[in-house]
Amino acid sequence: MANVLFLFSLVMIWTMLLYHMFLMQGGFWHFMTFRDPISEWSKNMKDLPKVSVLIPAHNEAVVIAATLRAMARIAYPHDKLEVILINDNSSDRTGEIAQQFADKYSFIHVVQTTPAYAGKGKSSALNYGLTQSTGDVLVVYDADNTPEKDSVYHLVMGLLNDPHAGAVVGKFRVTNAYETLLTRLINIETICFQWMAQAGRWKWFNIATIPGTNFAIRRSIIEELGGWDEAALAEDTELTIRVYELGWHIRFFPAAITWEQEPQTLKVWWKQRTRWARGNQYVVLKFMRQLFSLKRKKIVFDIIYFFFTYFLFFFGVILSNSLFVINLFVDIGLEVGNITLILWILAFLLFVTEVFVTLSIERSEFNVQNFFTVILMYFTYSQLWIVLVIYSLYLEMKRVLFNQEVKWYKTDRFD
Amino acid sequence: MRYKVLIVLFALLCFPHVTHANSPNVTIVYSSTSNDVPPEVHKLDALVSRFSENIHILRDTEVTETSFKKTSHLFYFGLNPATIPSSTRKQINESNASLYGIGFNANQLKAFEKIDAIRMQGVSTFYQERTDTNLTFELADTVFSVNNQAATVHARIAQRDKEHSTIIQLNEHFYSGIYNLLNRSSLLLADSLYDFFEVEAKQEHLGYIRLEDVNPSTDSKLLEETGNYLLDRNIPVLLAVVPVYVDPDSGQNVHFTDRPELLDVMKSLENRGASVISHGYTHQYRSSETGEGFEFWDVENNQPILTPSDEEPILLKPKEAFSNTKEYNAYLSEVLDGETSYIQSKLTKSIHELVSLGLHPLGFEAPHYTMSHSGYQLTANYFSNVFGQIQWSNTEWEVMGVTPYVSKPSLLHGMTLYPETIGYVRTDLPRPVDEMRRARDELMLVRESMIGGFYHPYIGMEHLADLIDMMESTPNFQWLDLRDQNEWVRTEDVSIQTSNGTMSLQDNRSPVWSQLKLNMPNSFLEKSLWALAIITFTAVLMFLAYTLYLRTQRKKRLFKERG
Repeated sequence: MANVLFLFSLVMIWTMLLYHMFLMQGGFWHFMTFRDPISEWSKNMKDLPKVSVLIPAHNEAVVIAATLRAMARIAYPHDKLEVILINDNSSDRTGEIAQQFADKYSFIHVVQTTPAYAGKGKSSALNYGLTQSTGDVLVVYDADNTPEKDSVYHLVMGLLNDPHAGAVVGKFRVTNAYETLLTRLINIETICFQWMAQAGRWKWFNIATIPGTNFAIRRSIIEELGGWDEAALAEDTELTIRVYELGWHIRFFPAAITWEQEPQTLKVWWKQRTRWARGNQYVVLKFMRQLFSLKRKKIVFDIIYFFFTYFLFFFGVILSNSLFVINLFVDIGLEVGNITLILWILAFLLFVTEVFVTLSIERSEFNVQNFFTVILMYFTYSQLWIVLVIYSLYLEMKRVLFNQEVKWYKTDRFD
Repeated sequence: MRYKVLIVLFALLCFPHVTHANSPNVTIVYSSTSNDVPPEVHKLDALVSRFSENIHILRDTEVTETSFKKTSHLFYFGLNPATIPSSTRKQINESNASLYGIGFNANQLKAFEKIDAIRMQGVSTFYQERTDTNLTFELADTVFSVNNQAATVHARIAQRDKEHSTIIQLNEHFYSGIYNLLNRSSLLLADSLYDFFEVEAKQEHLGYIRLEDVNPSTDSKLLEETGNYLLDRNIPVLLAVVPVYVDPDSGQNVHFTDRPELLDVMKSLENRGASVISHGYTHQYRSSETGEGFEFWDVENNQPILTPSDEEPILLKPKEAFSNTKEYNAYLSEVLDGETSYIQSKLTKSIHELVSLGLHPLGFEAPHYTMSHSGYQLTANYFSNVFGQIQWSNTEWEVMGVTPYVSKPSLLHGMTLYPETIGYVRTDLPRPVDEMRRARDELMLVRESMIGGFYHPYIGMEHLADLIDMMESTPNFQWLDLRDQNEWVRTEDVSIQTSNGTMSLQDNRSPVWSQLKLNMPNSFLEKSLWALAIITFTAVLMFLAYTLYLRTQRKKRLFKERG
């Protein structure tokens, strides 16, 4: 019995590890090649479409000025650009600050959500923004983002040169990476996410996930979909799947770069991640039910991946840890010997080397400080994820049992 | 003159060959209803093999005018009542060879015209003239009594307070009324062969004790304790070793490399004088467990093993399914190819694995003593001896037994049989050593008889001292030391040879490869895990290489990005 359980957990865990190993290979490959077509593509950048940049903002007074300063510097023909700050129910000076920019720059507009849309979260705010915009291409930024000046240009470049791309997503970097230990860990995590999950999946399967910020999408698609799903906590994952269902793919184009702020305290991090985890669990459960009726098999694969991450892999880790602990006290007849110890060490080395590759891709990030942070990360930050999934599963269960309403928690910003 | 000396010297050098030619030329003629050589005849051949290296077996219908041309000793063995073909009868009667008649029909021959044989049932008490011993065997027998005043009597039977002769000698001719040679009473016939061949027996009883079924699941403490006890008593103990422990229920497949402490015990016992013999490779077939299962006989289908363990066994078709013998033989040789490769692989693996572990197998014992006759023929390419019992029948595994003394049965194609004659310590019996003592006492009927038995090390010390005391109380008892014999074990790549107390090993395998093979993981699970580890390790190396590459490109990239 113990052996069967152990084998099960082993298969679950190593399926994930092997998959990530495979993704890392693709990610590295994508890094080596993604710039190759840029010079060719630039030649097609003549008849540019009109772009609407949507920035949903709810009580973002702390960061909004910096965000709009970056927006003001966007290198895109101003007659074909509108930046719309969607002020959603802010009780602080968000609207006031934004208005100063709107007064100064003709292509920056501030809109106020109407009662039908107000205070319901990001999806709802975006849907309102959609009604106020006129661009053929919609670009979304979170209110804390400071995109590099040519990021919008690169996003549009991806869309213009890839007729099958429904959306193009860029890369995001962390502004406060060296503020606290937590932001340092998050910084490493985001770099890994982009070069393994995003770049890897794109290179192997032409799949990327809309990360909620720094992406461009064709207006026609959003309209066909009837806007953003307001019930979804992770509106980006949800949108991703629906875009694929329409027959489009989403391109990962890391030439478009934005910088964003990450939570500096554990409490804020915890709330944000709980929302993500619950959001993704919601998506998995929503689409698992209609898994085999989905037209795009590629995305089925991606949903299974999520299912693995939040359920099977998670369960495998819990099981494996439990067996390990029980085995310390009672002999449960585990028949596997030294090889599992070797595998454990290899799993650790795999983690470390994968992170090293992604860090070296971001030139300056592979430094002594991060070298030790990575080693520490495996035993601390990575393990926090287990607690997080347990907690979010508990919340999700509670919600289903007591029929509670989802509440969108907005991430707190820092000066 | 010098040439003459050289010629004499040359002749002396040739002497060993001459002795071979001088060994009695024996022909065994038998009458039987069976088409194949009956097990009893194989047994007779084995008994005779102690005295002759030239034995020819003929069915009574196969005798020709030249059959006995060189024969010095002729046996006639009647297994059933029959009329001996007249031409055969004539050939036997006209032969100058000493004749030994056994069982039925002997009175049809001139030499035994007047023996007046009467068949008697329920005979269990026998008397041996030579040793003046009365013995009652456990099981009753059917034998012929003979009534001939002129004869010298070697053995008698007692029934209803009356004595009758059963083995007699008339001049140089012998007759034995004991004809169930698979029964215990055949001991008396075996002993009479010394007189028939006029051989002076050595005043010695060789003996051995095997520690049985030593395999990777064996308790190392108990093996150490029992092994060292025997060695302390200067007994060259034998270890019957099975290199792999298989338990299909749990999917376990354990090798000695998984039990280093047990291997150390075995090596230290061998260093102190114990001899290792190969007891198969897994001591099981298909879904059976090591020690329980048969390895060289498909007991479920009672036939030789024709397919590897993981394949469905082919059922051997009976002879009747074929229109003629030629077709049957063609079929047989085809399916027996499966047996050949199976046995070759098992024996090679067993020897190679034992040698890779640092042990020196010096002999062979078939698991549960079972093996087909073609199997023995193959085994003779690998081993110079066999311990235990022999399967006399090629179709029924249960028909097995031993000769009471060391022999070289034709069935074994040159291998020496070191017979297991007193059985083993059975813990289900109240006084197991007494049972073995009884067998030993019966063996005293036979000159040079071997006292061979085994002991399961898992029993611990409980009966061991008693057993050894009993064995050593045998008159003129000597322990057999395999290292003092000229034994050899070999495969294409490995050979082990003993002589005068030393062992020499030649191993032509690549040492790296054989060690690698030895330490290869066994189960599918373990193999997969190792494969996983290798894949992961490769990935780790690749990622390290990428990292280093990206670092070397750092400055170049800086300029590129700025540009």
